[in-house]
Amino acid sequence: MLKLDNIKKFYGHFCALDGLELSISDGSLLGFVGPNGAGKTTAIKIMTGIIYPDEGSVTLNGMNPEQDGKNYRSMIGYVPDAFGIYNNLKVREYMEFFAACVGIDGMEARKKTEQLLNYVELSDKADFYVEALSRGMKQKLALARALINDPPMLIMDEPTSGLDPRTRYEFKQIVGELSDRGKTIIISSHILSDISELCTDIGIIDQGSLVMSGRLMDVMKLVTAENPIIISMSKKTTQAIRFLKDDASVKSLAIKGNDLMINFAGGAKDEAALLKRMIDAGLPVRSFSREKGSLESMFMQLTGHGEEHTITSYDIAESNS
Amino acid sequence: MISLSPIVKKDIEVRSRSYTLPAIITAANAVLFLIGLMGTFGLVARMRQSFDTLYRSFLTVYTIVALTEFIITLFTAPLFTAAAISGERETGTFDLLLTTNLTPAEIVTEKLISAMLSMGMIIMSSFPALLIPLMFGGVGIIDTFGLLILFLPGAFLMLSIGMFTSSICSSVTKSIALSYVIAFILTVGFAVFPLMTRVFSSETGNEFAYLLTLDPFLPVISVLSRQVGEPDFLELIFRGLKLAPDNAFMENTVFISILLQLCAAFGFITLAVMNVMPGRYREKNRKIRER
Repeated sequence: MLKLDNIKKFYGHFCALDGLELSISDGSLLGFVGPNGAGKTTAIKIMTGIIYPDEGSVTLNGMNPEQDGKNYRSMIGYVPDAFGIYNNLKVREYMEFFAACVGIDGMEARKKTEQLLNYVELSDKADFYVEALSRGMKQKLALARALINDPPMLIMDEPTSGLDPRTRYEFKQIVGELSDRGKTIIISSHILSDISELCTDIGIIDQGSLVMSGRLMDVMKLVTAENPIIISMSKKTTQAIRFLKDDASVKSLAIKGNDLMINFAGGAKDEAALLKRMIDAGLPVRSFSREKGSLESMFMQLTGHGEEHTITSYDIAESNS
Repeated sequence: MISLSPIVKKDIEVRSRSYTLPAIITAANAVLFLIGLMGTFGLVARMRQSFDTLYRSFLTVYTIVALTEFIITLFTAPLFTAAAISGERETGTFDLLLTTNLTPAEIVTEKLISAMLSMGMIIMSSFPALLIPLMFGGVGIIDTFGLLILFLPGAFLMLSIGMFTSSICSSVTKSIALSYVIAFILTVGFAVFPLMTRVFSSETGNEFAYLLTLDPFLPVISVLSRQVGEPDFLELIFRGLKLAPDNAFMENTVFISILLQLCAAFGFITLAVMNVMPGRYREKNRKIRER
């Protein structure tokens, strides 16, 4: 388990991380998201041991990067946002260089290189110069390099950004496969659709601290429960508005054409009861559903950039009606 | 079979594919051969006309070739290390090195060794050019080779300066510029400053002249002047700067100077290592916050 405990990191007076707390259990695939400047890259660098925190502690299965340097680092494979590529080396040489840097030499290094290049489908490019590779291939090479000593944990910073859809798909397949093999994987990404497709867990960071973390499904449920209910009327919209205004469980209401959006306090049973009451009152309801939560909307809400427009329209509707 | 460390091996591979090192060696030797050959042929032509043997003049050509080679050495050395860390930072590979089994000290040391190998090649390749003015004798081959060995501490100091600037600068350009500023202060500045302060000093009391011992030129000039039969040259320099050090100092100036240069080089290397440690700036940040 990787545990970040009350991590603080300053750059001069600027506080990049302000008491970050995060636990990542073995085998999980965590999406680490946050707006630009939230402290993601600093947190990732602290996790990998590239920089040390000013305050707080990082432990990976009880090991600390400051005291157990080599052992700690050998547990983590790191794929940075900039590929980290030596252009004037050939693909095979690049892999063998990093193999030597982690203490794998000679035949073993060659064997590992062959295996990994084969795994990321770059074996036919082994004798190419790295600079001749496409962006997607470079990213695959960076992943293969991170796996050279078969670390139990992989940390990837923006691994799919700038990749074409096909390479992104292939990359996600590989990451999914690695996760199935039991590797703990942390992915920092701005592409939230990738995170929601791939990850089992999520950590959302904003202004240097964690605003939410947990199992992705649980977090999504939590957010979905707070989403508005959208009621589509075929006619009698005015009567429906009046009806909903008189209902005590409706907190606020917004109108968008024939659709009514209500903030509703209650569970699934209460929703069903409200729908029944509307039908009994002779209101022609065409559809009645709670707005689906998306990772994007959740991210916007949690990082303080919520859907202000929608919320305002509720208030206006409420005060007008 | 020699087992090279990964960074040294990689740097050798990369340099062997680049035109930079062969270009520097070719250009440096072209300049040295040009000076050596032109000087020598000019003197031979004069000897044919005058029937005089101009031994001292050949030694002057030797001195010029040797000093030119030393200047080339000093001012190409920072190029080999000024990009060592800042260049890796620019490409994003430095962070990757820090995630391997290599410690910051090992990374800096290995980078320095690979740069030293390149500098060694540049220095040693100039050996034939140095021998051209010595065709009529004057300085033995072993002494000439010894002079080239004496270039190494100065080159090492310049490489460590490049490594230090590379560790503090985020871009290669800034690092190269800063390394040349420091190199210039150390070589020209440490000679000019005692020269400027001599007017305010008593006849034998300009202590700033001791700064010269840190100047990489001092041991080279000292040995060179002895090789060409000017043993009192060093004394003349110090006297010119209004300082009359005692005999023990004068006898051991070369040794003292090399020792000081090596100490300064290790100081720069230590600073470079400290600047790439994962915990760097922690103490500095704490102090800034406390303020």
